[in-house]
Amino acid sequence: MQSFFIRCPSVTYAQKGQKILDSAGYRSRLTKVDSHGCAYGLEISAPERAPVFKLLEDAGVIFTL
Amino acid sequence: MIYLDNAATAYPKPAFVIRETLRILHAPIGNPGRSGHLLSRRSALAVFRARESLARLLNMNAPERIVFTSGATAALNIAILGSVRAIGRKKERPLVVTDVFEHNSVLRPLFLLQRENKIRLEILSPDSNGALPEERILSLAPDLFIVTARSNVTGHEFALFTLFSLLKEKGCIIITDASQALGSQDCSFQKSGAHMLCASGHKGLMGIMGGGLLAFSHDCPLLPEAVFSGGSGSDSFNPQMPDTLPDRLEAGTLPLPAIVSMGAGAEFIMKLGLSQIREQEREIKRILTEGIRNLHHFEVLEPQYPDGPILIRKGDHASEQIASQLEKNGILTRGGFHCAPLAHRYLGTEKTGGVRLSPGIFTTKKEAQKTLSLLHRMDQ
Repeated sequence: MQSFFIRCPSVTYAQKGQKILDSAGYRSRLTKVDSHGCAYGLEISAPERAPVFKLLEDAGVIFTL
Repeated sequence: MIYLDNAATAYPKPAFVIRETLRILHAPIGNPGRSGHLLSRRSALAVFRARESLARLLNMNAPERIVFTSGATAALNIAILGSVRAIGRKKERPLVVTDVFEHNSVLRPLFLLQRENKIRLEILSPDSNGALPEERILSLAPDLFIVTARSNVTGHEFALFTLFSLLKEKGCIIITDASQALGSQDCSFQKSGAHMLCASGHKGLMGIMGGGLLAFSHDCPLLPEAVFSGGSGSDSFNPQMPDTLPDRLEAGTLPLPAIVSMGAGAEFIMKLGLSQIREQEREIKRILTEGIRNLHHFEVLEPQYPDGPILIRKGDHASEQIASQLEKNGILTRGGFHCAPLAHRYLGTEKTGGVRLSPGIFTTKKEAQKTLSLLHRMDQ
């Protein structure tokens, strides 16, 4: 299990991402990030990154690493 | 008291909506989408849940394509002014087409743009069958077409799915004002074929005043430019509003209680079922319309439609006088011009106005009969 972070352009995308991950059995924590101006992100726990990214992309969640 | 002014605002609000709204007011809450602490996250979650509920009601799978506003007027101003700005970057003085049944929240932004010489404007009337001249609209090839999903004066509805499809092929952006229809009609983009939908939160959605929404279809090829600029809780160093929805069009603090009430309203509607709401309201409208048609001096303004309000008048009596007389007998209606001046000109009621009877989901047959009894007495 690894922990990694994605950054979303708005709290709405972060929430949408969290809901999708939650329904797929992944744990995540929504946090605010301030590194490049305000944004929200998800700290995700998952064995692999690729399936998580695919889930998010398929659902139209915009994010960066 | 008999309340027949649901086209102005729904009354009473469902107990579930009141309970959910009070719950958020009593709860410890922060500013949604601004801070990272528990209370802010909790508020943001309440907003997100409302977005999801409304997305389900509109059969959308992308809640982020629902923008919250302070009401339908704000939603329409953002949609119209922002779209014209966006189209205007590629084309000078785009052509906007609309119709006489529009509310002033559509007409006034358009008249403003026309006065500033930023658009060409065509306002069309329906033919004798109540239909818009589709061939003419197609030949005009508008850049932007704005139409009501249901008139707030007569309940007038245009069946325009095919026209919308043809206009889309020509690159036209289509906005619908669903303030009167959302909550009792399938307003999904799959059904309407429009690109943008604007609606109020306190009418068919049965929420409290202070909320509205602007929703975008998946195939909407253009996003309006921001009309309001300010804090969005995101992308702070960008001198412009963010590019992504909903933040791009949600400047400033969101009206959390109104948003929660809209979400609760959507849940209430889905639980009851759109078809049941529509059938109940139709039945009351049918009773009232048929009863009034049998009176000698009162007239139902035609054409009438199965849904929405009923507009009546009594000879050349001022509508406000009739509404006032009804109120003295405990029946609350609305006289006047209903912020739709061109509709009244089209109907020939620009001098008297009309008395609008707008039943809602909680109006009973008994109340409809009592209203008819009073109108019968006033008809003598």
